[in-house]
Amino acid sequence: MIDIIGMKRILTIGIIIAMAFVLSASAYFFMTPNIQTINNEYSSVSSQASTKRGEVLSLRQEFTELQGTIRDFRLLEEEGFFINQNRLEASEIVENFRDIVGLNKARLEIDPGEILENQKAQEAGHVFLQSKLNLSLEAQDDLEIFAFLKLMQDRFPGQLLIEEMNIMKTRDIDEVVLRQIGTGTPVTLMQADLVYNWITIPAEEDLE
Amino acid sequence: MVGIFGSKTVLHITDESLYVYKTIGKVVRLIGVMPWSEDLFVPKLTDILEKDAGGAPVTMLYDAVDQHYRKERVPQVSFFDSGKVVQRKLNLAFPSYPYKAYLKLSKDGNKTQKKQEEGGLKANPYLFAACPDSQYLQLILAALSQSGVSIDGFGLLPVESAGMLPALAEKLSSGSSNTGSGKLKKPRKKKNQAMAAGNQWCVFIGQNKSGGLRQIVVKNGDLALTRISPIVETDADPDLWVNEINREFRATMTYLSRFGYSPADELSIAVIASSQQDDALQQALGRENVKVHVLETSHAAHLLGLRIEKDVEARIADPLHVAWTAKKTSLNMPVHGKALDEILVPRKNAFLAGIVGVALLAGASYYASTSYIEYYKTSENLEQANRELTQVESIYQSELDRKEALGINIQLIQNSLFIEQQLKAANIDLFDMVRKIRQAQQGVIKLEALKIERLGEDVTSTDTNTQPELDTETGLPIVPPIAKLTLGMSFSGDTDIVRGNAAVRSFGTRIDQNLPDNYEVSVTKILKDVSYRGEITREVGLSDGQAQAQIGKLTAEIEVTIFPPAQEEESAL
Repeated sequence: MIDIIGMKRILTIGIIIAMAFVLSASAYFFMTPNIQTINNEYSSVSSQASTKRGEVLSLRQEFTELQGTIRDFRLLEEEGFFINQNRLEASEIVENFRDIVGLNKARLEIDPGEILENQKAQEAGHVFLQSKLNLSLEAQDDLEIFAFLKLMQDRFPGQLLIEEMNIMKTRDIDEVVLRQIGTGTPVTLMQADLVYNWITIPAEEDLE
Repeated sequence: MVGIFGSKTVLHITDESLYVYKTIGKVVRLIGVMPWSEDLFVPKLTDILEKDAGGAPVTMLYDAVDQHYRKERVPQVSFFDSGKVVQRKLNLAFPSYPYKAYLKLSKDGNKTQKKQEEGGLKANPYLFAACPDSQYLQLILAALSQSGVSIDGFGLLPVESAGMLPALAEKLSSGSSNTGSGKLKKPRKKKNQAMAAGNQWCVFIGQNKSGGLRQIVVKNGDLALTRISPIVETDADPDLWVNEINREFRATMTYLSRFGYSPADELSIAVIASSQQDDALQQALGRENVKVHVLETSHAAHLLGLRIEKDVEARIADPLHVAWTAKKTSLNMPVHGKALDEILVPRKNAFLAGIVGVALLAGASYYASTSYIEYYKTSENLEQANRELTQVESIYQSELDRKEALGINIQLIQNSLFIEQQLKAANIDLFDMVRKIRQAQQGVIKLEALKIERLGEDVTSTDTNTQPELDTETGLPIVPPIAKLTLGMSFSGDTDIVRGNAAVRSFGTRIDQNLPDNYEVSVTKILKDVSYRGEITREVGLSDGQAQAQIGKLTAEIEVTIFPPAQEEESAL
């Protein structure tokens, strides 16, 4: 049989089949697992790159937004939102407001401050500081009281939340009152009692 | 089977010599003539087959005198048994011949007669053929065995060339002289038409190189008769040559009547001869119902779409037979014999194994190459992705650096603004509210007192997990008021109560109109209820005027309940 077919032909066929086997085997046992590995790696790297790209976009967007936000933050700083509620300074401010407006009398009482739990403040390393602020005002005119309150709202450091307010007329205008006003004697016609919650978020270390 | 570039080797076996043809593409070239008496025949033929023919697969075309034909009817049996039955019948027909072949012929003739012949069974006509084991074949097989070339097949020249006759006849009858393309139409349809109309006979007359005159007679496309007879070797004496052809043709015609030929049947004769003998041959062979076509070899090859050597003698028909056979993908009637099959079958199997091996190699190469391409592409993609990742990480770092360069604590900014917004939302817009109340006063109402009282829980609470209470009817969350504003008014004692009450109510309405929707205004106290529900005390007489005025001072109250403003979209912070 070998003589009829010829050794050369048998060898040729054998070599061809062996080559086919070697090629297939190398592709199946070597290339395919490697392709799978590289594909997995590629997917992983692509995913990382995609995530990072998203983070970059997010950062850029935040940065753009921050340009506006920073202005608001600076205003907050200027408004004293991060102060540690120094009582002496507060009383000086109130006295200053009274002088500006010309109130007959302004009495300030500030209760001891409380540190309330606030996650957002804690995340930023700050504390939520709240103090009860009682104001008792006497004035000749209600406009003076509102002017004072406006100053408190706009220029008092931190945030003031009205808890209670009671503005009342204490006396009617009669001839005596008119005479006193005419002679320049201070006359109290209006009285206001206010309770505020004074809130700031000072840094933790600023309280120590 | 074909070799490289479609090459084939055709061994034209005649009684005198062996002619070795090589075909490359469609061109047939004679590359060797070996008389049987040649010394060292086998080694020389081996050498030719291996070197000159390039080891191309060999087709053996038997054109010697000693070949025998018989037309037999074989009962029609199932497809699986038919091969065995036909082979058995073939062995019975030619018991002493080692090389045999059969060919199923198309059905013709009277069906009733056929059934009678086969005892009522259906039968198919077969052409059986055989040739003896000769020294020629032994020499060829020895050379084939030594050379190692593949054997494409062993065919009998008259049978293999039988198909050439109807094709040529069709070309000639359809005015083939102006059809230069040489493309052949399938003769089957024409043949069927002829069968319907009457028998169509074609006779091919051509002289071999060895001098023998080969006549092939085809009836309705099937081989009917073949003869080879010695005639004068050249046409140097045209009259003699034509006379001898005429003599042999007449002899053939005497046989034809036995095969059912009648003078009324259409007969087409194609003679391969020099055009100089055209008239003589027309005169000698032509008669009623007989068309005689005299063609030179090159012209016939052109008509059949075959390409042969240019310097072939005009009357030599061998190249036509060889080219026609070489053109086929398989032989019409392959001859089998034990000695032949001992070489043919293993080599055919080896060839098939080689084909399978090559196909496997091609498949494996494709698989490997696609795998490698995929690997390469994926590697490239991975590199690209790595580059992109590095680039993006670099950009990310630069963005972080840019942010850090601002020298700010982003979280502090975001959180502090969030808290500030929350506080602002919880606060009461005192001045806007007072301004709107003042507008509603219209200089008519005198306010005595303004009191604000916060309701509900501590507004500074940041606990967002508290579930709001739901309305039992609507299922919507109940929004509690955040503060209450009380407006106190006073009227002099002599105020018209009805008008005063109306003024208070009107004032309340105006406040309600001025304030937003989250404010609810209600008159909680009017000057005096003078309806049946009210109570009144009246003193009449002289008294201290001031005291009277004090006692008669009338008051009213309006209450404004403040709800939180409608929810807005949360800040992007």
